[in-house]
Formats: sequence, C-alpha cells, structure tokens
Amino acid sequence: MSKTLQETARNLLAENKVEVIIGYAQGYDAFHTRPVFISNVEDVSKLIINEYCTNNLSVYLPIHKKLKVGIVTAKEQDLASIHELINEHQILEENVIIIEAAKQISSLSSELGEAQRDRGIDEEDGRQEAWKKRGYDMAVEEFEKLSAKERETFWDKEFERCIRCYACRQVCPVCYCPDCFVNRTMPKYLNEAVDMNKNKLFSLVRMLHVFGRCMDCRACNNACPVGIPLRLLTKKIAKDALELFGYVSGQGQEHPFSTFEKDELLEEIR
Amino acid sequence: MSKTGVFICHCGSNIAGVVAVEKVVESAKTLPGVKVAMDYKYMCSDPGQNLIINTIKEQALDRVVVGSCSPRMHENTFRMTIERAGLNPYRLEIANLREHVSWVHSEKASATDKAIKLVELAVAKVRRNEPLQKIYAEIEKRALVIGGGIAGIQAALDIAANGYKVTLVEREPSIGGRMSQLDKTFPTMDCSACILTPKMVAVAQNKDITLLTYAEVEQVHGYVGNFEVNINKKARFVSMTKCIGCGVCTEKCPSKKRLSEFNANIATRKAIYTPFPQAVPNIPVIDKDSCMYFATGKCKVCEKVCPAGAVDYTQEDEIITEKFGAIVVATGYDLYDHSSYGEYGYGEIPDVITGLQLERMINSGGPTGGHIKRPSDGKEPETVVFIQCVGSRDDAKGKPYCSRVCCMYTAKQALLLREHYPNSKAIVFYMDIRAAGKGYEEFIQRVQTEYGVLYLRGRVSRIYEKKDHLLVKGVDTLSGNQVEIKADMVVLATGLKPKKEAQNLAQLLHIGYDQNGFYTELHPKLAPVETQIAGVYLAGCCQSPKDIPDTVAQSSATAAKVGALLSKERLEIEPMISEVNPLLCSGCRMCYNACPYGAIEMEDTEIRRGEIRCVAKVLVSVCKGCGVCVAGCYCKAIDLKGWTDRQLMEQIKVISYC
Repeated sequence: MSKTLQETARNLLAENKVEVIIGYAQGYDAFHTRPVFISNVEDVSKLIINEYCTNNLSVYLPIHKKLKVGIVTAKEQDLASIHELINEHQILEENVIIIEAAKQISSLSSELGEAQRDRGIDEEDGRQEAWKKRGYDMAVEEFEKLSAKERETFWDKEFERCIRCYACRQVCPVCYCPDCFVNRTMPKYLNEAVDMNKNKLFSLVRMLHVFGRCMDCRACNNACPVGIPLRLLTKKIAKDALELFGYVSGQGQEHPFSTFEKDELLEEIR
Repeated sequence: MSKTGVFICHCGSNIAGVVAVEKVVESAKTLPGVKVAMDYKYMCSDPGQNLIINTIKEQALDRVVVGSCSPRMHENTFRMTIERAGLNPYRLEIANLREHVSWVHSEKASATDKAIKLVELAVAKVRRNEPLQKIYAEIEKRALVIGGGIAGIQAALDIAANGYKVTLVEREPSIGGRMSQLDKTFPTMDCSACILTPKMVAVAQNKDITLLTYAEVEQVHGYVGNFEVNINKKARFVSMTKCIGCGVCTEKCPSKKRLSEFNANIATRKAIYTPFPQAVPNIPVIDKDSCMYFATGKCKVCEKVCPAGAVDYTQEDEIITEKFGAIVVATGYDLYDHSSYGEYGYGEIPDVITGLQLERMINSGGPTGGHIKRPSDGKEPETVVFIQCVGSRDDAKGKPYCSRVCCMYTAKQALLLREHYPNSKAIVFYMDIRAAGKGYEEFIQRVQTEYGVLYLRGRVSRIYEKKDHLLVKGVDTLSGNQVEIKADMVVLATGLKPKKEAQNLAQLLHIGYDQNGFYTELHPKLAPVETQIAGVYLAGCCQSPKDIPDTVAQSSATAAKVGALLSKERLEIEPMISEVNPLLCSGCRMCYNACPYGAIEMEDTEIRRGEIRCVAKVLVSVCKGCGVCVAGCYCKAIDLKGWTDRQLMEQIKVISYC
C-alpha cells in the first residue's frame, strides 16, 4: 500500500503539481507514525500508510495556505476536515490535492479508531479496563441518560487530571484561530492556574467553539496525554448538530448559525 | 486608576421606598476606582443634573455611574448631562435600581443587597468603558405613509406641507378608508364625504405626494433615515395613464355577484369596479377572483367597451424598491365580526346588522339610496334596537378594551333614524355611555331629549326570530325588570380591532404590538406617535381605537415628528456597533453569513506588514449593534462597542472571581 502511495506522491512532485506533500512517516517504533512534509522527490520513500496513521494531517493545511499541497488522508473524517476548512475559507480548494489513502486501505479506514485503542493495550496493560470503568466506552445515548449530578461528577473527575497542555487544541484542524481565547490577556478569559473548574471551562468552551465544525476526527481524543475521553464530547456535539439543526459538518451545508428564518420556531430547535 | 462618580437617585419614593439608598452609597464609596458617591431625590431633575455636572468638575471625574430608572428612560438624559460637563457621553453606565429592583422586590434588605450588587457591576463595567465617537449618516428626505385612510391622508398632506416628498401606499383601489364609508360624523353631524373628499383630491393633486393605490408593502430593510422598502403594485389590469374614468366598463361588466366590501356586504359589485363614485384615483381595477375572463378565458366585455383602450389583461404585479427616511404606519382597523355572539344569532339573522351596514344604508350614495330598509324584506323598520359594546369590553370574547367610538356612533345613527322616519322608535341597550369628547355629552343628551331615543342600561340576552319581527329579550338593570321588545331590526355597535395583517406588517417593520394586536407606541404618554424603531411612526386606529378628531390630531403630530426627523441635515447614529480586530480575525465568514443586516464585508487587509489576509469589516452605517456577529465569532475577534468582552469579564469577576 505504501508503495502505491509513494508512486502517486512522486508523480505529483515530479510533475510540479504540488510543492509539498503532507503525509505519514515511521515513528519511533512500529506502532507509531509521525507527520512528514516532503518537497523533494528523493524523500518520497519516507511516506508510509498503515493502520497506525491516526493523526488528522489537515491541521497543517492553514499554515501552508499559500502553497500547493498534496495531503494524505487516512480516514473519512480527515477528508471532511479538509472540506470544512475550505468552507471556512481557511484554505483554497485549488491549492489542495487530496491523496485518499483511506480508499486504498478502505478496509482499514473505519477500523482505525479501534487500532488506536488496541495500541493502548499494548502499551499499558489494563488501561482499557480503566477506561471502561471511567465510562470511556459509553455511548452518548447512555451518557445522556445519567442525571446532571452524575454527569458533573464524571467530568469533574476527568478534568481533575487535565494538565492544560492544550494538545487537544493544537491537533484540532478547526482550532485555527489566530489567537486562542485562553491565551488572551485583554480581557483575560481564563487564568493560567490549573484547576479542575478552569480545565473543564476550557474544554467546554472549546467544544462550543467547534460546534457544527468538529468532524469527530478523534485527533484531540488521541492526543490527550492523560486520556480524557474527549470523544464523548465530540460525539455529543455531532449528535446535537444533527438532531437540532439537521446539520453534518464538512458536507458544505450552510452553518446552522447563519440559517435562521423568521418562521423558525424556538420549539422546533428545542 | 479611573475616577468614577456614583450617583444614586431616590426617584422620589420609587427607589428609596424599597432600597436603603444611603447603604448603597456607603458601599459604592468602597469600590475600587470610585472617587465619590452621593444620592439625590431626583437625579434627572435640573438640580440633580447640576449636582452631577458640578461634582464631575470639582472632583475631576472621568467616568460616571448613575443608579436610577431603566436606561431606556434616562440613559440619554444622563449622557447629555456628562457631555455638558465635558466628558465623553459614553463614559456612563446606568444601574437600573427601579425596574430591576424597587418595582419588582418588596423585601427591603435583599432589595438593597441587589441594588448594591448592581451598582458594583456598573462600576466594574464603566472601568473598561471606552470613549466613543458619534457616527453620522445621510437622511433620505422622503417619507412613506402606509394606509390611505383619514390618518394616512392627513399625515401625507402635513408632511408634504412641511416641504418633503411623500409616498402614500394604499391597499385598496382608492384612498379614503373607513371614513369614506360613513354617512355623517358625530357630534356636528357634518357629512363625512363633504369633509373627506376635498382632502382626497388634495392628496391626488399635491405634486409632492406620490399616490400608490392597490399596492402593498412587501419588505423593509435599512434603518432610520435610510429605509429601503419593496412595494408590490398589484396588477390593476387597467392602465393608470389611459383610463379616463368614464365607468362604462363597470356598467357593462356581466359579473355582478361579488359582495361589495365598500358597502359592508349589503350590496354587490362588479368584477371591474371602483369602490365608490368619488374614488381617488377614479380608475377601476379588475378583481381577478370574480372576473369571468380570468376564470374561463372568455368575456373581455370591458376591453371591448372601453373607449380609451385602457384594459390590459396582461398586466402583472410590479415590485418597486424605493428609499425613505421615515415611515408612518396608518393601517387603521377592521370591525369585530359578531358571528361569535350566539345571543345575537351568530350573524345569521338577516335583520341583525352592524353599525357600518346601517351607515351604508343611511348614506344617500349607498345601495338603498339613503333609505333604511330591512335586509329580509326591504320594509321600513319601525322599531330599531341598538346594542352597544359588541366585541368591546368583553373579556369572554378576548376584547377587554373599549372601542371608544361605538357609544357615539350609535347615538348618531339613532338620531339619523329618528330624523329619517319620525314615526320610528329607537331603543339603545348600553353598558355605560362614554362621551368624553368635546360636545359629545351634549350630543348624547340631545339625542335622548330632543329625539326621544330610549336608552336602557343592560344587556340583551337573546334575539329570537319571529314571523315578521324580532323579539329582543334583555334586562333593564336600572329598574331591574326583564324587558321584551318587538323590534323590526337590530343594529349592533361592533367594536374595532386591528387589521388582520397588522402583525405581519409589524414583523416587517420590527415594531411591537400589544395583546390586542394594536401597535405599541414608544411611550404611552411622552412618545405617543413614535415606535421603538427609530424612524417608524404611528397614526390612527392601528395604535388604538380612536375617533376622527383624535385620529387627525395624531396624524398631524406624526407629521410633525417626521418633519423634525427629515429636517435634520444628517443623522446621528448610536456608536454602539460591532468592531473587528483584524489581527484576531481568521476570515471564516461566520459573521458575514450570520449578519441579519448585511453589515459585514470581507476585505483583503494588510494586518501586519507584508501579511495580507481576507478579514471581516463592519459597515458602520449599516450595523445596528445587535451582537449576532459577536456571538458567532469563535475567534473572539469581534467586540460590540460599549459591551466589550473586557467590560463583561470585569462584571463576571464581580459576580464570581475566575
């Protein structure tokens, strides 16, 4: 599979269709990949594609806005991210050539999330057990059934561990704001002190900001060094966007925020 | 450190009666940045304002907090006050201690605590206030009047007399409105048409007034001084320029089944018609729904007989877009439909008619030639029972208000009946007689004593249809007796209600209406013709039921307000609008898509040296300061001036530090 990919990439570079290719390279061991930026034909052999290609590479697109970019997408959500970025005018459609590795490894594309989790077990015995205990595997529907108090307790416990490293924000393709609100000093929305309430506030505000834009690509979830199940939140906002507004992000639909009609009743949007 | 002055108003006993003002002052003195705090009985009065001005000067204050009534009431007053003292008028915050505290709470201790907190919040907000500069916009020196009844006519004439161009839009084929349907007017009994038609002609002849009949307002954009209005000129199917108004088409039209709206449904009209002979403009329209040609494709009689070749079946609705500086709403009223009254026969007894129907009968130009005839058999009625308050002052029918004109028009009609048929008997059932206008009470007395109209205080419980008469059963509450009256006809004084489409228009214009559907004025006493939308004014019965003298007076008042607006050279716009920080803007266009006023523009901007990015820009004169863009901007690049995130964060800190 990697060979076909390398061939495609070589042709693109050789024909000058792209200036840089963003793809995956081997990481520090067989179970890890890392992003790689290739602009020389000689380096094409570094490109690989396998079931451990979990990062959403579209996060690197806005900073390469002015270049012609070829980008490897490993799963469907990555593709959706690129469309969302085009919709939000962060990249130019004509500047991006998508190399859909997901299609080449179609059998893997939907299973990659699982692969990521399997990796967890390899690394640390019993981690999956712990995650299950903490409700990581819980479906959104199940989670919604819990009482407000139970849900609060759950998240309080999770965000107790957060170290505010902002990895979730850094890997998020739609977190491209020139200056994130948590970094602002005038006004200071959130101070630096790491405590549960502020950690929680940060993540929840981030969720509000990516509402209707998040592709549920799992990048934040996978990046979290302390294993906070952010996927539960991203699944929830994707579900809400669909149920409340009939909206799926990354499909080129008009964002629900800008589609209000006069006769649209409040009861309808609950 | 800012130097804030805090001024707490007692508002007589309105605030001080519930809030311990001295405690609020004491607490305000301890707040960071507050240099001076004081209270006064009436801060908005002249000595109160002078107190503020003098304190600002003596203490060299740079910001002011006033704890008083709602900012809707006096924010502007105090802005001007501090401007007089040399401060930027926007360095002011109001803590609403009346509507938000004293009027809604009675428990003194906690009300005082809330007042203290509100003042603290205002002090926190004013700390981050920026001085704002006023913005000016051009004014389109033309007015739009919606509705061509007496209210709209008077307003249009008065605005034109002030020297401004007016467009008068009327939905019906002719102007004139309800007043043109009336026979005589109380209490002077002058003929309605004699006093109205000259005004209608004056409108048509005034070169400053553009008359658009058979037209409706479809869309309204823009803001005070610069409204952009789409008007739908409905297809008349008769050329306005060619028609000479001879009336042959109406005469020859074979379709004559449609009930005449102008004659209150007691007569029929043709498919091509002018509502009444004195119509302005005297040009007929073809009613598409009743025209045989439009139904079957055959007929075309009117086209054949028209000597001027004015009939044109191919005409289509035409939408014109025009700009106006001010809009006057004078849409008038509908009459209450009495078919919901079971005791009066659900509107199914032919000889139970409405006041307006009687009015059309009495009118010499009406379908009966001025004779009152029973609809069932055409006989002259001998005994006529008038019932007042039908659809007025009746909570059970959802009409709790008094329609104000029914007492008087019933008396007028009883008088006309007695005058026309001296042998007739007129009996009026009333709840109370409300005759508060000039000469009204004397009129009622005259009707009772000179014309012998019998007034019975009470309600009618049932009207029975007998062979050739009606049996009216009721109670005379003054004597306590049940009464049964053999009547030939019953006339219901139906009340007034807003036009059916009044709410749609309100939504187009963003003006408010009350629970009864009447448009709400900005202030019931001090701003009776303005609405909460600047540049939109009210006249006539669309605001509340009123008689002709009041309507005319209100229309002239409205015209004066319009004149005052249009006479300004340029218009001051509130500077509390959105502002984009291009450094923080990502150019995602969320605000651009969400802005309801189209006030955001995307523009390539050099945000740093050498870095050009497409970012949002606010069009100053279009922005209304609604804040939708601020809510939508996840980059937090947009701020609403006067309500910046910095100010709000200061307030949040006061409530709970985070």
